[in-house]
Amino acid sequence: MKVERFIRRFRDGVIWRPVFAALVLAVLIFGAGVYGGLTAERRMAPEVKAVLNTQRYLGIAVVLDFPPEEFHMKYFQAIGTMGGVNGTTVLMRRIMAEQVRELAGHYWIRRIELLPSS
Amino acid sequence: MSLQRWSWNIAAALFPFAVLLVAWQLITVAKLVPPNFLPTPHEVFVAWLDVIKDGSYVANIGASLVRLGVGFAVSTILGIVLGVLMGLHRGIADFFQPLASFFNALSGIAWAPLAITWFGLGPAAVTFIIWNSIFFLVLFNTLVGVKAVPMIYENAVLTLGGNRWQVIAHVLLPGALPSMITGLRMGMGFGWRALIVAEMIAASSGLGFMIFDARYIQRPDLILVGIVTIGLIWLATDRLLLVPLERWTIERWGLVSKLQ
Repeated sequence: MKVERFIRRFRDGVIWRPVFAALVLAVLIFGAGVYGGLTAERRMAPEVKAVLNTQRYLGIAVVLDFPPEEFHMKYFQAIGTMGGVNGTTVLMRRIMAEQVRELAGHYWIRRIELLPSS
Repeated sequence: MSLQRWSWNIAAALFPFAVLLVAWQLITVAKLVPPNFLPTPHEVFVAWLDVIKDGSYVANIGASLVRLGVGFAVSTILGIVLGVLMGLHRGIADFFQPLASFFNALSGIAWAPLAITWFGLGPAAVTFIIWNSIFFLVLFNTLVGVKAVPMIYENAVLTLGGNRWQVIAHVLLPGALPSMITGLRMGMGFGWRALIVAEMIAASSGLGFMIFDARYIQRPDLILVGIVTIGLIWLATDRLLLVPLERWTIERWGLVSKLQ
């Protein structure tokens, strides 16, 4: 009887609709962060990964697929010191290793490279 | 519901939007409106893909949903608790009802200037504005729900040896649930609106901010991306979450019978 009721409710959408809605909301809120976190490693150049655990501060070049706009500028300024923008590349000075990891967790960043002076 | 009937319902729901889309396309192609006033659907779609790609769209949606969630949770908890207390205790109701009626008449947005003064630009001001838009709706619906439960059920539980808590847990709260859910559904709608306006004036992220900011850079396509997104999220939340919840509640508590 309970199983039948469950099936009827499921078929009517009483169960799957809220579950689906919750999933959609969860994906909208956390999806980009989770995906970015899972793929963060591949955004960091090998030289960055090599010094990440040994250096406290790094100079990095953040390569994007587009010229940075207000949203990105605000974000980079909140993260650390911006050294300038060259096309679609943002130069950043004295960025803490933790923040480099955070940057790598954003899906909209293509690559993080080490600046020669680091 | 058969698959055919389900497909028909979906098609019927989408048809008005299809008509709107075609009308929009025709208006823009015929250049009845200057392109900087109303971009084509294709331009809006391209702008949408661009903001998804650059990360700003996802960040703004996340910011808006989190703010709405926090505001909704705070308002709902406080509204239900105070509503139940008012429904249970005459003295509490007499004290709070005039105040609640007074503040209920005010739009949540009217508080925006004061909210910014008190809390500064940021999440606290936005949450306060959302709270003002949702709390009183939930409160009054809970109160009405509790008061609408026939006294005979309450007396039945007491006669059978139940205590006050059992009356609340097994009679008043379940009996008031349909009304509460209606309040939540309305509150979510009002909260959405309050959120967008609050973000326009008291935040530096979110869909409301995105829409308002796009006007400075003359990007009507981004404004429309924001508007369409707000509509889609609201529609999805209402149809997928609130309507089934409301339907389940009123069926569960016997206010309507399920049509076979």
